[in-house]
Amino acid sequence: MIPFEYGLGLSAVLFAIGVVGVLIRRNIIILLMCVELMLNAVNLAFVTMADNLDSVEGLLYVFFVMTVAAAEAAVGLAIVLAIFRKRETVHVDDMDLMKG
Amino acid sequence: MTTVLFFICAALAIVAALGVVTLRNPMHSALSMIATMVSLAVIYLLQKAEFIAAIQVSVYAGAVMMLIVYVIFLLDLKKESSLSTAMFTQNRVIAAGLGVLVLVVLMLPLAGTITGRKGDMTEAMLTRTGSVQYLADKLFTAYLLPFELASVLLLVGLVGAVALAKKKL
Repeated sequence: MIPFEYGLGLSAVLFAIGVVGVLIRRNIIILLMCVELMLNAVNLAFVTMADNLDSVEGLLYVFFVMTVAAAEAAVGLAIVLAIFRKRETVHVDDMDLMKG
Repeated sequence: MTTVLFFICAALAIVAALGVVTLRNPMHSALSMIATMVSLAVIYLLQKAEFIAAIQVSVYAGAVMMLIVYVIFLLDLKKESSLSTAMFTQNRVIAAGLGVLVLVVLMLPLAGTITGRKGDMTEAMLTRTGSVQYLADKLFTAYLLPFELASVLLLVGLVGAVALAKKKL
């Protein structure tokens, strides 16, 4: 059995990489991928603790996180398509309709 | 043996994750992401989560990433020209600093002791029923309502995606 610290450490590293990716990249598709990366890191933490505590709840949470991630990816990519059709860009700095 | 395999997959996952963030071409990033997800699936297998490993490969590496790859094909993307070639811009230094901060905060609890309530998915239980059957038993009894809500959420996502991607918004 793998010590749970290793799993949680790997999860923390992947989450931090995802955060940095969201901060430095400007392509919205890559941003979506970085969000998926962070969700994967969280899933890894859930599975690690489920393994460590012999508890099935962690695995069930992962199941629901994956459901939400799939729905999020579908809707997010549809929004990307709609924006690309209207404005010919996937560059987040060009998406300033709301003057953010 | 398990630990060695864990470290190989962990290294692969981290390298591929760095690839997602640093590679210039979106398609290369997407392929890197698939590598991360598959190596995570192997780690799930090492942690007695066979069902999660299977849906990680089929749902994440299969469906979600296929969707992303299709969108990359569909959009006529030029290389990210505005991504500056200089290694250290001000933004990137700040972002890297924040990333290190997040990493430190997430690692801090590991210095102490982490405890929790033990469940009953023990080794003996798993050899008797198998982890997939045990998970299904829980999912379709105690967690039936969240399961049904998840299916409604997927339906809403499906309808929303079709409505958003239509030609005339």
